[in-house]
Amino acid sequence: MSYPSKTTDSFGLVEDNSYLTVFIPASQLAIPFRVLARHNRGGEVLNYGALPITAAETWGSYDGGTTTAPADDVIPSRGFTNTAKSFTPPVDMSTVYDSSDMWYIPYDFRERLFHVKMEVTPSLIRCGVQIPKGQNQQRFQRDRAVLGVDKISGFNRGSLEMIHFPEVRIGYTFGNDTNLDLFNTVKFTYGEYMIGIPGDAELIYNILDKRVPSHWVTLPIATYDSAVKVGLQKDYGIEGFNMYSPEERRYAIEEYQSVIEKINKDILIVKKVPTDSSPGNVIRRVR
Amino acid sequence: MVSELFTVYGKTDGASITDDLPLYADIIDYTIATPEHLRIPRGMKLKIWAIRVNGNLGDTAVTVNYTHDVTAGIPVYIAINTDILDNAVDSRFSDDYRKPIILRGFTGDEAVKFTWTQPVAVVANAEIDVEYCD
Repeated sequence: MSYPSKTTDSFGLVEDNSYLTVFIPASQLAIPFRVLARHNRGGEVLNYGALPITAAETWGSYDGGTTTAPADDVIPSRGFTNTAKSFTPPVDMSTVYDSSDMWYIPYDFRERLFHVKMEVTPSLIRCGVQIPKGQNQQRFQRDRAVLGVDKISGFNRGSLEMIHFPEVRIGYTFGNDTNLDLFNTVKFTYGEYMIGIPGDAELIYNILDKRVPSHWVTLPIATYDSAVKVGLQKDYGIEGFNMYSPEERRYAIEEYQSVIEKINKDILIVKKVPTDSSPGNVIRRVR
Repeated sequence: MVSELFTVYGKTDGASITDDLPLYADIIDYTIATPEHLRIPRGMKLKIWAIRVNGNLGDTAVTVNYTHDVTAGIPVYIAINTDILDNAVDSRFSDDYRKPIILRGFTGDEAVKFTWTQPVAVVANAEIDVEYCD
């Protein structure tokens, strides 16, 4: 349950015809999307079930060395994932694009975007992400210390909000620092958005300057892996828009105009200008 | 805000006059072992909201024991709270705390266990409502 805002509903998902802005700290680039429609309206909740764990699976141990999962679906006590997890599709969703990762879609699904809120029960489980899968993103003092579920910091207990770009694989990491072997369940609240990127430089500036309401998601990307960069290029033709301060507005709009020209035409929302004959476009006569 | 509230259930063995309660709960898997303590992760708290003891065969005391270092060879536990089922009064005892017993995880090595003590070894049951929170 979330409190609805100007752009989100009670699920915390972006409303139709509202904006979603995804910011990547490592590149300092943001991509504003317009959510044209939610494909799964009325079916936002997916009770996934237990984390995909098999009996005797090897996990790292907070006590040193490794530990093993005592049974299928059970998070071992004092254990953390050695290898990030992907969510295999539930049996009745086996026709998804990738049978090993239900959230993965290739670049030709570029007009789709998954906004995923994951809740793990018990909520004391440490949760983290790798973007792309295999790349830990939580860092301290630039890259001097790599953090994550296996460290003292770099995780969130019980929940995560994530945006899944097409062509970019995301890995989920988990940790259990109690002494209990834990049964668990994962609940996804998600939106499969049909999206476009606005083609109006001024509107983009206003969104990024927060004059136009937009739901912002900052992805935990501290290291800009080439897989993310290439993925975004393949998806949208761009990696995003630079952020500027109000006194740089004119320069920003000029730059945004040149970035807009590179956006893949499949998802570019072209600014529509009314013709003189359009209803509602009243031409004032000068006397 | 992280909060996980659940009930652990334990039963005395009817043979010992004192021991630690084995802890059963819906979220705990027992394939390898039944836990007898709850470790408190660093930065989190364990709240004990209620203790219920029942059994009509004899008196039973349930003591909450806390240690700062469960990883020590012989952990040193301190008694934090004791609830007594007195069969002369009732065969059920329920201590439903309006304000919970709060125990902190300072380093992540802290733990809590529940110990029963009886004048004569009999079977008794205990249910304890606990909450992990940050």
